[in-house]
Amino acid sequence: MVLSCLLLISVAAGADTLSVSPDSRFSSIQDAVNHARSGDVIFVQHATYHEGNILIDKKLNLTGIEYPEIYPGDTAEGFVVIADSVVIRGFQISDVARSYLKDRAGIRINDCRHCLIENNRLIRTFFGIYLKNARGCIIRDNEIEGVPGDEASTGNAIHLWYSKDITVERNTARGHRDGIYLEFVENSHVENNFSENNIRYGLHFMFSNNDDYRYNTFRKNGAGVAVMYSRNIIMENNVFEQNRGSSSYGLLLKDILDGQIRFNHFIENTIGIYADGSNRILYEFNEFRENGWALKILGSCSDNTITQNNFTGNTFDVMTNSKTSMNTFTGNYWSHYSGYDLDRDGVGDVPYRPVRLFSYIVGNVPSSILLLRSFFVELLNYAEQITPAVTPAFLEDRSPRMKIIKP
Amino acid sequence: MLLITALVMASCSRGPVPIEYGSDECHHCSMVIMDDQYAAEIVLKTGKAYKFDAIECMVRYMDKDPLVKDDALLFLITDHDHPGELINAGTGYVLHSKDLPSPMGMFLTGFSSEQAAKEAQNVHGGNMYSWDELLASFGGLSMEDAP
Repeated sequence: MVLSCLLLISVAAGADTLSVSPDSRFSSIQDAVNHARSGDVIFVQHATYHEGNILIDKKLNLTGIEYPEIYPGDTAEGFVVIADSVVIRGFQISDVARSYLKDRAGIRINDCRHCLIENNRLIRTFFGIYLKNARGCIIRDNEIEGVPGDEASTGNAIHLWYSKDITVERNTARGHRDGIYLEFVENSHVENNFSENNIRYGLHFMFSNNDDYRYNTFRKNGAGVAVMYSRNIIMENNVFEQNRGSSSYGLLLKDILDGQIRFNHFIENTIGIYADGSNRILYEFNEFRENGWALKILGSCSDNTITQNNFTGNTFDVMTNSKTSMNTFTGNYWSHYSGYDLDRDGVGDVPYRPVRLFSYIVGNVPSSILLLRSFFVELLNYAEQITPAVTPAFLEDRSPRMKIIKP
Repeated sequence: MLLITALVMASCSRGPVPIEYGSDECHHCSMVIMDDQYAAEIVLKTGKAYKFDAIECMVRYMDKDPLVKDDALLFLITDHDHPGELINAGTGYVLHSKDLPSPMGMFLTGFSSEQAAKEAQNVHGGNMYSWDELLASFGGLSMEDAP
């Protein structure tokens, strides 16, 4: 009865539309939610709303008109969703404070399915969008901006925990701990996101299996992407660039199995890919350009195949701490290769050994990098190429390409 | 002169080494240590420190490198009630509770005393361990089903 007076338009049979604005019947979003019925649509007009912990406990579509601004205050979160099939679209949520006791978020999804979180702006929130035990949700076109340089006191922009079948696409994440974080997440897709200036990682997988990420850009993060303790992660068509700390990586692989790394670009990173305990991974059609080390592959890695990649202008191509190699390097293009191709079949006639002696020395004595371009070092490298003593003799590409490979 | 002496003394002292949150890496899992409520550290007799982002990483490392026990001077964990404060693991207590996710997925949280751990247990539930009990039962703890 009360509700029927407040209808603006009826969207469909049984679904009502409510409007929130400071001078209308509903001046708070929570009030409108409390009066709505499952399936209703709530339009929130542009204004400033000082309310937090807005609890969505039924199937609702909340749509902000021209980004209404929500300030939850010092002790609250923004939205807390505990019902299935909720839509939250077009809001701006600002200033969610850090807490030691609770991971406060701008938008929190707890134990539910089929949510759609799109076109929101989250500014200076401790955690941006936080999914716990969610299924079949879509997180897209959100802009999440943390506090730049605020060291350890910021959470993750998009945080997925114990979730399944999630799509994260076209979001922008900046100034957080990790841009996108997945822990115990399965069958999920991370696509077309832009992750920049995050303190730790642009994207971070922990204990997550059967996921993929494609067409994302990771720029100037502490490290680009970390994939740890996970299986079957597909990594394709991403750009990893300018991750340049003293021990910074484009991509860090730690204890993973059965992944694919294809068609990616690793550009201007301290280390393009750092692989430790990573097995049965296919590296194919990637570009490694102008990195300090293109690929550091530790002795704990085996059965990896590195084929048809382009290594151009890297200070060092490959570094390893092992004298044996249980990985296959074949058919890559190496700009440092100085062999010849007498039979003109496009494949170099002498193998290429991508591990240089001097990269070992730099590994042990970092400050020796000063000597990089010196005559003495060139001489050392040359001697080592002819008679390998320290570098692994078996780590070689027997069919190096003479020309850049066009994938 | 006094300053130089003091500096030399300071550089030789063997005790907890402060963790640089946001830049130090975990000695076991290579992740950058971010969360000042969960970090751990092994200080060696040489004064060198191995830093960890979580108790579980320290215990897993002790498992991987059993000889570290002979070289270690101190085993330190963080008191959850005082973020950033490293305490002696041997006198601390650890709560294993689904309510408190630690950085490496094992739900282990350190406290400075049995009393403090008990208070947290009353709020969050879970099981409580002394340090030695934790080391003894760590292999049996499951990542999927924390109490």
